[in-house]
Amino acid sequence: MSPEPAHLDGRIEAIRLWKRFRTDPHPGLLGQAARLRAGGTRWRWALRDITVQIEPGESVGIVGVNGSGKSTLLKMLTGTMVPTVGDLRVGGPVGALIELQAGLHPELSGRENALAYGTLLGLSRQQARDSLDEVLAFAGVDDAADRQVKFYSTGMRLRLGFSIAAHLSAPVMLVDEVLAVADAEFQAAATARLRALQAEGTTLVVVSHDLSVITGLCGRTVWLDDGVVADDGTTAEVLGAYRAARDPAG
Amino acid sequence: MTIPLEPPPELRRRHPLHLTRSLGDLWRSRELLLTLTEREIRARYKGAFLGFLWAALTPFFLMVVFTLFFDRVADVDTGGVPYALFSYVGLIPWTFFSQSVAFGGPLLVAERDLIAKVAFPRETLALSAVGVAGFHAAMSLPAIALVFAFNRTWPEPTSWWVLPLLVVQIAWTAGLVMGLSATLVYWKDLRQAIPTMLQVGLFATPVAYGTDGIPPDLLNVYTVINPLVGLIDGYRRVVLYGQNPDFDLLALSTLGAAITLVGGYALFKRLEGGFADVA
Repeated sequence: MSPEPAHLDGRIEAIRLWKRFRTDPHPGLLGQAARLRAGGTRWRWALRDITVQIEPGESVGIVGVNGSGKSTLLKMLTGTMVPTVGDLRVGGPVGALIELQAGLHPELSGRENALAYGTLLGLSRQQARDSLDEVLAFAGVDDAADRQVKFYSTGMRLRLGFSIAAHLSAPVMLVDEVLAVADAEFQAAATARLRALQAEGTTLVVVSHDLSVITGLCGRTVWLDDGVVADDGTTAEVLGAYRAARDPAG
Repeated sequence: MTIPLEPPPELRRRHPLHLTRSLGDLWRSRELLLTLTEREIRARYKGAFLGFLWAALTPFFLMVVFTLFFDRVADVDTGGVPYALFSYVGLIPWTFFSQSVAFGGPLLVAERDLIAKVAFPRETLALSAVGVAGFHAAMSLPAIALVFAFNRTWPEPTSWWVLPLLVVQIAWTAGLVMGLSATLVYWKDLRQAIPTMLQVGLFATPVAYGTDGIPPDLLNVYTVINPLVGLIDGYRRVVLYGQNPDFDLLALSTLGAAITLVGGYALFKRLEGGFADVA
């Protein structure tokens, strides 16, 4: 493979990232006075001082219990969220296999969605048209390509969303629990697709509660606990410590 | 090493706006703008029997109502032009504007899934609302041709002025939609306020009546605030009367549009970072 320019090489550098959210809902006119008396807006720091550096082509798993900040971190890597504090550099366009149905429009057909979603994810219209057949075939919806997505089964929607996102040639691919609800057959196909991306040198970041997925794909794992990095090392080490912490008796 | 509960102050700093870089990103996303516009138009008319005809019906019905009732009550001075044409030439740009705002204002919140999950230049979403409304306006042009034919008259040769006027209108609408949609993410009151403002706006803009309906000593200031005043005046002059636009009025409209465009874009870019946090 030809060497990529530095800003497209798939390297991820997150240096001392902090991210906060407001804990109280936006108050109405009458609530404002009470809020000011209480000392202004209350914030919760969802991520604190996260430093993670990922080399081009590396595959890194992220584990942690619900609410530990995994999805927030992924959203910042995707670029949909901005860190409150800290420096984040991501080398190139990011493909995100995150809640894949978000970009699908229920009224449009599978074909129309594949074109629109592909463009949303950063393809040119020509590129989206070129990869269309492959995307529909991989999703197994070629027969239903002209049916509106609202008439698709949950599995078909999931497969279509995965297939569109997985056929981007982005140097960084983020994967968040997308395989959890798929059937075994598509899980196998999807995992094979992720391995193919790995072989092409794509940087992979995988979030999953299914630790076997992480073990299968990632040599390195980061453990997030309550918004901070609890451990960062080889998958075997980190998952060992993670399991021990969650089940001290075992 | 324990990690403090709040970041140390030396890490905190303001993020400057890079508007020129943002404009570069926007230019590279022009295909996405086309795609988003097309996506909405296709989705909106799936399963609608009358399809694109709806686009033409809104200004047409308003024109009929205005002609039947408003003209009778208000006795508008149209300068010898049939009132149906006079009001229609105002209603099509008005509908273009109001549909852009009505659809585009709440759009970021309506597309919160997209905002939260997919990274793309968000202003393309706001601009696509202008694209959709612009498509509708174009679809209603055959209807106005019929009204011209019915009145046995034809647009004047000065009608080419419509294009520069349209550029000013698009600039104003785009700036306003960007500013409104970004503000609405944080301040949901606007969702309730927009339909009200548009209803008021229809009567506070010379659509059903002429520019002479605006108090003369307010006209200049008001045209900067509501550039549609100068624009609709311009559309009527060039299409119906064979005149040039009133250049003083057009300059004021352009000034208002430029301020709104730059301000709306800067506001959008300033607020954009938090969209996914609160949308």
